[in-house]
Amino acid sequence: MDRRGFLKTAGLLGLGGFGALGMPRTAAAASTKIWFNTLFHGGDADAMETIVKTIRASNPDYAIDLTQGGWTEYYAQLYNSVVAGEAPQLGIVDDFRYESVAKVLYDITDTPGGNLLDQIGKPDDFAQWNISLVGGKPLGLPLDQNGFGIYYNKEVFKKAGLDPEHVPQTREEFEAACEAIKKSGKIAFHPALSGETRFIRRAWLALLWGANGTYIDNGKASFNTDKGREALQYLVDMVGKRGWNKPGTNGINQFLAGELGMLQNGTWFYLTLEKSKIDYGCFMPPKFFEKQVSWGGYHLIVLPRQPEGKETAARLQASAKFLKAFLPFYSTWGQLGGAVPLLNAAIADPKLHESKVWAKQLKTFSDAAAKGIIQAEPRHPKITDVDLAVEPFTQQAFNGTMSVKDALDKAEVEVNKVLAAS
Amino acid sequence: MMKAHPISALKCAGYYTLAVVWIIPIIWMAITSIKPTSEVMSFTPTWVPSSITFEHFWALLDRRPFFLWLANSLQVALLATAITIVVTTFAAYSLARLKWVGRDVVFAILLCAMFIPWEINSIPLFFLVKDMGILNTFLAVALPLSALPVSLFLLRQFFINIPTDLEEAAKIDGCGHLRILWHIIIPVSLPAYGALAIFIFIFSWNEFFWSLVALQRSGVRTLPIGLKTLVAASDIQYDLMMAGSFMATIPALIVFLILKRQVIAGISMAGVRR
Amino acid sequence: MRNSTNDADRRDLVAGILFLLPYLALWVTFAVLPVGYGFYISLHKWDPLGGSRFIGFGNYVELFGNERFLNALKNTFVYAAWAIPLTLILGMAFALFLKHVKFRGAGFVEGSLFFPYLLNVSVVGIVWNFLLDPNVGIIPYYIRAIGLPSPDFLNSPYLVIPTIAFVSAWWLTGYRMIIFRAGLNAIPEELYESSTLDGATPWQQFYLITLPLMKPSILFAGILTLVSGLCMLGQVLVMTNGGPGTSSEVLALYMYRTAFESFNFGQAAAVGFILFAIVFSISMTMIRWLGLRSELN
Repeated sequence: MDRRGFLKTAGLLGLGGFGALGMPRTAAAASTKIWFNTLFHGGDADAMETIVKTIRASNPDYAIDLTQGGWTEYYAQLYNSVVAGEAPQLGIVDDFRYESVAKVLYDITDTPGGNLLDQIGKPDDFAQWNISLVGGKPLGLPLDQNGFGIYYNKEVFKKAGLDPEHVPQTREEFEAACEAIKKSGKIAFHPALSGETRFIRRAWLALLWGANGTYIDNGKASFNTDKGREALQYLVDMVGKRGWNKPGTNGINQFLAGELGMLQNGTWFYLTLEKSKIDYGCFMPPKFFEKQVSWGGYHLIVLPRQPEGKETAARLQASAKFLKAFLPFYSTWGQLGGAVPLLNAAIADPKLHESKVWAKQLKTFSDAAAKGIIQAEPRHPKITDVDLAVEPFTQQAFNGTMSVKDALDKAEVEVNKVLAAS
Repeated sequence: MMKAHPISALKCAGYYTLAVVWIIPIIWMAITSIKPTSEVMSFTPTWVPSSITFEHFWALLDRRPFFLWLANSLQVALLATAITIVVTTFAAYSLARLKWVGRDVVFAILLCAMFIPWEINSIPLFFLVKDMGILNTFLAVALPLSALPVSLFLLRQFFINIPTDLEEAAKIDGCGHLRILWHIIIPVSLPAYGALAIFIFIFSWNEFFWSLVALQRSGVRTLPIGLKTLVAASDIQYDLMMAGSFMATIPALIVFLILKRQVIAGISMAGVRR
Repeated sequence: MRNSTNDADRRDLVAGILFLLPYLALWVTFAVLPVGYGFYISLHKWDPLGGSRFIGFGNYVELFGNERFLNALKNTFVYAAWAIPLTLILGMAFALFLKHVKFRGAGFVEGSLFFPYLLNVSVVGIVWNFLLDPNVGIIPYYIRAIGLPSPDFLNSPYLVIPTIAFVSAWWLTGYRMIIFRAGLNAIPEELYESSTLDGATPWQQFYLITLPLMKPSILFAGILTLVSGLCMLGQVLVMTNGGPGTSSEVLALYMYRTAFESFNFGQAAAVGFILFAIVFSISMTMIRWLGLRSELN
């Protein structure tokens, strides 16, 4: 290769590389184009995509860019994009992360584009409007209430000699079902979805609340009580003494392999299950202690802070317009995504009640939500850090490498440290 | 030079076994990616799939922007390689051929810096890059990768070993440094450039830590970061993960099979002094 | 005569510095500046949205009183203690095996041992997660098949770090093997032949000829491996995210999570600076102590 050849190659490399400087930017280019970034993937994401497409089709002047995916990276991405001045105009957050990112969200009644809430609707239109309030100010709109339920494999039930149409209603029935499944050679129950750290903690929280315990109270950890220990011990025994499963396993994998009888999983599991060939059913966990509780959460639509500029007001107005057009689709969101849509009109929508998802799981969740069975984490600016502080310990207890007492003692120390820090 | 010693058939068989066992993870990944889901998730593994299916590849491509990740990685790697070559050429010439006060001190400092990974400074680097306005662009990753002491070291070492006669003659004729570089040094150093390009390309292609921090936006994610988002995604199970991993491995496999000698030579040049 | 030499020298000086400038600018900006900037950030309660407060060494004091940080520190050294010897010893062993390159299929062996190095860390983590999965992974399956209980590779606080260390070795040994091979190739064959004539055993040859003459390669690979071991992030992030609990949370991961999960950038920068200081001092010590500097010059 002579020098001319070298020059050509280097030039090409350079051009290829410098062409990269025009890298893909998904942010809005035109002034009223808005960018909606969600943390959904899978069935939820498909549902959102369908809705946005429909809105675009009937409103061709709405330029909206939808990107989705990546729960574990989402919050870092959201925060950093605001810091970098390139945030999307619309986003989605979970309620238990809501307050930790409150700083980067607009009060929707007080934005550079004016009071956007007025242009969208009234608080009364929404169910559980209070969940959107942080410090009395609405930093977003309620979208849905989701939660954990117990999915069961009807084939496995049959094989264990259980009636596939009768779901366990009490703790005794549940335990008997687990034992029967275990005897039949299958895995009985997985309480924590894919087995990840945060799911173990949430499974414990539901049991804690079911025992009438509390997580944090008055700025201090309040879970290190007899109730907390009893709840955690029960969870630990599931994969320990009782042998209903083993720690370190992925319940979703087990369930999809047809090896697991019952799996605690979130409402979003619906679409994955529909695609699989499993004959399944869904029920709410029974009352294990004092009351029947299932862990739940909410999704909220939020408006991340934008950099100052002439286009900001226009973009926010466009966002408000989009959200107004989105409201009628709350029912569709419920039908396709499997969670309870938090718009009164949607909840009452007969189409929702006639949909397949309603029959399969949504009615169960909706009723549970109405009865107050689904409980969400307490609202606190530091709740995310509290969760992160507790999780390693509940996991070690679950794995059997730490006693329940030690785990909760240590967790309490860490949580109080977190809550005391400025 | 090396003399070939005959080795026993036993040792030979041992080495073959080692090589095969060592590569089993990749073979298993490939097999799994074409198995039907029920076999992937089965509690009893099967080595021969009952039927071959490519649905996982399509499903993954449908759910994730795999080719976007690939393209992004390509752009980062090309950019880093291009900038490295340009910048390092001048720097290596300066350190190898030009005599000036403090040159050796500077070189010694850069040498020591070779072992310090710049990636652990990701937090301040994040803010620095944000202030420079290049956060979430490929430049943010390519620029730090273009100033690796290892590249400088490789080129300088090569330049030093080039005989000086031609240059002396050129200098007497009145050639300036740029012409010497262009007409003499660079043409002779093409093997070194090949090695350097390969090394930096592979290094940038696989870069993880800093890309994770600097390219967070989903539109600019590179391949390793995109693949990471598959782990613990609620809609991705092992079947799609293996398909994605296999697709990510294919470019490396093809390049390696075709250019094995050059790749290994390139990597080894970057680590060895004479 | 004198004048032209001075002119030439001055031209060289100007050209020398000018030519070095682009590289130096990049290096200083992206490798040197962040160290100082990081230290600066670590002295604040850093809020990128405004309102950063100077708190002196507050972050550092908090860190050293924080059990989770101390745990991360411990895990980092434990991991390094496993991963570094494993990677280097395997690399050396493989290089020795391939020394006598002329057996048939040696190219295949070399290629197979080296290939994992070309994979990116996510692929490595994903594949090994699958291999070690307690339900569907083939490694636990075959262990159980021969009658032994399968250990909890990624879910036991004691096994998780050695497991990740082994996966890292699988991934990175290829590069060390190549470095050592080049080092081995540089040793003249006559040394071995004459020592064999003198009656030296292979072990003696290894200790008295191979190792000393390979010192530069060993130091190079050693320091590289040391640094990558202490700064490991990718493998643990993909495979366990620090789990179970925090048993595999190493400093780099702790730094990442402090910054991007808790958004506590000041403290994260402090962790980063501490890690940098550790790596820097250890590698500088090794360079001085083992005389690498003179070797390299």
